[in-house]
This record gives sequence, structure tokens and C-alpha cells, in this order.
Amino acid sequence: MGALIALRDVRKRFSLGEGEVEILRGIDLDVDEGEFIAIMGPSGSGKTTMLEILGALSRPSAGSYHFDGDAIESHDDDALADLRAARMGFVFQTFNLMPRMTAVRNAALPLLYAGAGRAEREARARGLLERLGLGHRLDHRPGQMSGGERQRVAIARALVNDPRVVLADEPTGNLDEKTGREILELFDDLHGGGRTLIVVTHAPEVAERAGRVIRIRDGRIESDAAA
Amino acid sequence: MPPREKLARLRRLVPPLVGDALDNLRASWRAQALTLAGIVWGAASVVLLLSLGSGFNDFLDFGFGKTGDRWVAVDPEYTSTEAGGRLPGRRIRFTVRDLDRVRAGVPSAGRAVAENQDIVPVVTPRRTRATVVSAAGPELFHIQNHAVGRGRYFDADDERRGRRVAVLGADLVEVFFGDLDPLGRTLQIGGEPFEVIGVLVRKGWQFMTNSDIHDRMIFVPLSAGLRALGDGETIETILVEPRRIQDEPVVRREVRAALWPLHNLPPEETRAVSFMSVPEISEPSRRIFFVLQLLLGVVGTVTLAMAGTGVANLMIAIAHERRAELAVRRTCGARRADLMLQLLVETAVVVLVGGTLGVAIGLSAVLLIQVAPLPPDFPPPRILPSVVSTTFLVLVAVGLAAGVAPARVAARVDPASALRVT
Ligand SMILES: Nc1ncnc2c1ncn2[C@@H]1O[C@H](COP(=O)(O)OP(=O)(O)OP(=O)(O)O)[C@@H](O)[C@H]1O
Ligand SMILES: [Mg+2]
Repeated sequence: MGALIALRDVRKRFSLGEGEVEILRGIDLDVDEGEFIAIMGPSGSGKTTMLEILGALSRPSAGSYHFDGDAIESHDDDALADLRAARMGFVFQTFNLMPRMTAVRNAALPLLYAGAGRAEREARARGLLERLGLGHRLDHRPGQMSGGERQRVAIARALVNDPRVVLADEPTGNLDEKTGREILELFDDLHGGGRTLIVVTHAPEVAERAGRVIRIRDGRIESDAAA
Repeated sequence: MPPREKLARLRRLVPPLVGDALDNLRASWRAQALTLAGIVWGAASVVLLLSLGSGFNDFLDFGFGKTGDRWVAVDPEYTSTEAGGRLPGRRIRFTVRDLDRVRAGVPSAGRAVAENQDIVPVVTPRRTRATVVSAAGPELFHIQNHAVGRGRYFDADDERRGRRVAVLGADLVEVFFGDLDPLGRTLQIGGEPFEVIGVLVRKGWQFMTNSDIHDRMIFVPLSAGLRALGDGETIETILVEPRRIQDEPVVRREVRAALWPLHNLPPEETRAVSFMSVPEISEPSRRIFFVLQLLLGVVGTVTLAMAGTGVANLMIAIAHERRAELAVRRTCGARRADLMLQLLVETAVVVLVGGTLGVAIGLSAVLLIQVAPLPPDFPPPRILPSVVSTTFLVLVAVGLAAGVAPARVAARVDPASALRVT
């Protein structure tokens, strides 16, 4: 079986006024099922840009991306959306929850787009939130929750569609040390359960837990090593 | 995507989106109050204007309906052509034979009746007064929409036997009999005694006569009336009622064809009889009222459309404000079309909430006007279910139209921007 994710000479260029800047300059990467990868590198090196490509949120300007054997290039915009709905989960530094929705409805959001009925959406979101220790916050809105609780709800949202890969960008960046550690323990558990995780981070603690650390500099992979 | 899947997706997405839209509105209605007020005002004015319009229409139907809305009066005139060795300018005279010809020879007419009218002295012990008396066949009852309040109208039997019976317009009871019961009492009409057998229901002001004359007339059978009022033979007018209102021109043609041989008239003769037709007379007023109604509807709709522009602007701003939220939905698997749907739904909800409030206010205003003291001939507005459904149709159209631009803002949201929310 091939890799879950395969990038070949992926480049990403942005147009800036007249000219163009190349932010990713030839990335080759294979990710296997069940890996826990940390992506590190200086600010502006292209980490988030890489995550955005891995998450099928934008297309490479050049190069190829195969996800689970499928060439992303051949997917239209709807197909990419469906791919995200069914097989990807995202965790953000700023949580990005819907402010007027309860925890349950926030966590259930991807299921709405993936095609689940109301009862199934509720049941799965509830079950997951309870497992993440948020049984007492099910009907709370983000404004009524702590940062750590919000990030847990966001993680529940990322997991609710049972994705092939969870992509996180600085998931502990807005949390204090203790809460951050709790979230990382959660990631450990997920990894232990066989989940594929790709986490962009500045934090050495994350890298310590990851099985593999990829360092990026100026849009290129500088090093890629087992931790 | 196959249509069935599309429909399933729509049915899955719309209910939660409506819920979200209501939540959002509840949370931010203060900021949107001005825009909402525009929609409320627009919807209220559509309801009010359409109700006023249908009030006018009723007024017209009612006004013409009181005296029958489709008969054609055929009057004898002078010839304009030479015929049978006679010079033009010959006076045409109708008799019962003309009525019989019309009855037999005008298939598109359902009813025909002869009527003579005259102003004659009418005498009772209480009073003597010059009164308009109509002598006509019993069919006049149907053709001119009379309704009997007490007693009965004269019938074919009265007509055949030449009975001297009379039916009174509602206002004449008091005039001729005061407080007495008029039924069975006698009136002298043109010197002959007639027995009162019925009293008509009051019609009030009539569009056709521009008066309340039917309430101040006496109706008698043609056979008895011809003797009392005229030479016993000459008929003044024949009223013909087309089976269907659109057959009115056909009726005219058939009447000519039926009467011409009787009076030795050549086909090119056009002046020998004249026609006065209720549909023709009511047409211009109907057209004016229709245009008026259209105008009122357009004014209301334009008001609503302008309010819709306000909502569109508001929702464009909201879509921009929520780009981050929309991008996050894209990471959760929302398609471009799903976000467009979201903005369409949200805009429609704003319009429908404001619109419902406006409809309620418009209906209350109509009810208020109905009970308010109105100028005597002012037609009160009327609430029709079709007015309410039309208003909602317009609201849905405005809501969807207003949602197009915000939906396009949503469609342009870059999913990748979810990773760069600050
Ligand atoms: N849409 C865009 N248009 C133009 N330039 C962009 C765009 N997106 C990112 N960039 C640029 O690409 C470079 C890399 O950005 P990226 O967000 O990937 O860096 P990063 O490694 O995640 O940095 P940080 O650690 O600060 O989050 C930056 O210089 C950024 O300004
Ligand atoms: Mg970044």
C-alpha cells in the first residue's frame, strides 16, 4: 500500500502586486497512515502554507499531491470540499468555533456537510464531547467556555467525521502551558489510537511527542527525521 | 451532482441554516433595526395598497352588480338608408313582435325582456306623487339583479294574464303607505289600480344609474303596464343579456340579423337601432381601476424592492464580517454552493421576518380603516387571502434577489483563510 499523503515537488506561488513570490519551493513528502508529524520552522518559512496544501484548502501552483492514492489536481472545488468533509479534520490556533452555536452543534458541523442526519449528528458529537471530558459543556456556547474547553470542542469537531488525517496549526499557541499540555496529551491519545496527525508548531514539547519532525526553511524541507 | 442528491442536501442544510439565521437575527436585530424597518414598511404598504385596490374593485363590481352587469339595451332609432322605397330618416317602432324575434333569433343571449319606463302620477290615500314606473317582463328581475325583501316579484303567469300587480322600490313604502303594510294594498298608476305584491331590497347608490333610482321606482308586468302607460303596443327598449359577457358583440350582430327583416332594412343599415351596453359602459372604469390597482401594487413593490436593496447591503456587510466563519465552514466540508445557500437563506429570513411583521401591521391598518369613519362613497379596503399570498410571494422574490450579492461574497471566501484568522 502506498502512502496516505504523497507530495512531489510541490510549489506554491503567490502573486504580490506585479511579481510573484514562491513560498513553497519544491516539497517532497510522504506521510504514512498513523504517523504523528510535527512541522517546525521559523516564522514565515511556509508552514501554514504547507498545511493549507495538505488540507486541500488550496492547490499547489506546481507539483503533485496524492491523497489516499487520488490525485488532488483532478478534483474540482466541490470534490475538494467533499474530501475535507469526509477525510480531514482541522484544528486551529484560534479555535474558530461558531460563536452562536452550542458545543454539540459546533462539534457536529462537518457531519452536516458530510451528509449525516440530525439525530446522527447530535449523537456522534455528544459522544465525542463526553469522551473528551466536556459532558458538562454540551449546550454551552464558546463564549461560556475556557480556552482549553474551546480547543477540545474544536478537536471534537476535527474528529467527528472520523477523518484519515487531523491537521493542526499551532493548536497550543493560544493556551497556557498547563492547558496546552492537556491538549498535547489528547493528541498523544489520538496517535496511540492510530490516528494520523500533522501538527504545525513552534513548541518543542509538541516535537517531543511527535514521531517525526520536519523542519522547513524558506519553503524547502531542511530536515525530516524521526524524533 | 444528480438532482435527487442536490435536493437531499438542500433539505438537510436548510433547517439548521434557518435556525442559525434566526439566532443571528435575534443577536443582532438592534443593529439591523433600520433595515428591518424598511422591509416592515414596504410589506405593510404592499398589503395596504393592494387591499385598498381590491376595495375599489369590489366597489366597482358591487356598483355595477346592483343593476346587472352585462345587459345590452336595444333602442329603436331612425333609418339612415333607403329601403323598400322609403326615404332615410324613417322612425323604427318596436312592438312585442320585435321582442319575440329577439327571443327566437339571438342564440347567444340567455334572456331578453322588453321594458317601458314612464313618469306618471301614482296615487294612494296617503300621497300623490310623480313616480318612475317600469313595465317589463318578469325576466327583468334577473337581468337587473333585483332582490325581493317582502312578498314576491311578478311572474310569467301575472304577465300572461295581464294582472295589475306592482313591486315597489324599497324607499316607496314609506312614501305611499307610511307605517302601513303595503302588501295587498292598492296604488293608482296612471289612473288604474295596481295591487302591491312585493317590496324590493334596498340597493342604495347604483353605478349604472348614478343614483338610487331603483329604490324609488315601481315595477309592473309589461302586459298590464303597456295599457296603463302607453298605447298598449309600442315598446321602448329591449334588454338582452348575453349568456357570457364576452359574447356581447355577437349579441349585437344577432339582434340586427333578427330585427332587420321585420323592418325591411338592408344589411348596410347601421343606425336603425342603438345599443347601450353595461359591459361597454363599465369597461373604462374597470380599466381605470385596474390601472389604479396596478399602480398601487407597483408603488408598494418598489418600496419593498428598495427596502430589499437595504437588506442586500446589510447582508453583504455581514458576509464580509463573517468571512472567517465562512472559511471555517469550508474547512468542515461546506461547498461553495452551501455558503451561497447560507447567505440566501439568511437574507430571506431577514426579509420574511420583517415582512411578516409588516404584513401584520398592514392588516391592522386595513382593519382600522374599515372601522374608521369614512367619507360616504369611499370604498373600504378589503383583506383578500390573495393579497396576503401575493405580498409573501413578492417578499420571497425580494429576499432571494437581495440574497444574490451576499451569496456571491460568500462564494468568494478562500477556504485557506481559515488558517489565518487573527
Ligand atoms: N495569500 C498569500 N498571498 C501572499 N503571500 C502570502 C499568502 N499567504 C502566505 N503568504 C506569505 O507566505 C509566507 C509564508 O507564510 P506562512 O503563513 O506559510 O508562514 P508560517 O511558516 O506559517 O509562519 P508563522 O510561523 O508566522 O505562522 C509569508 O511571508 C506570508 O506573508
Ligand atoms: Mg503559520
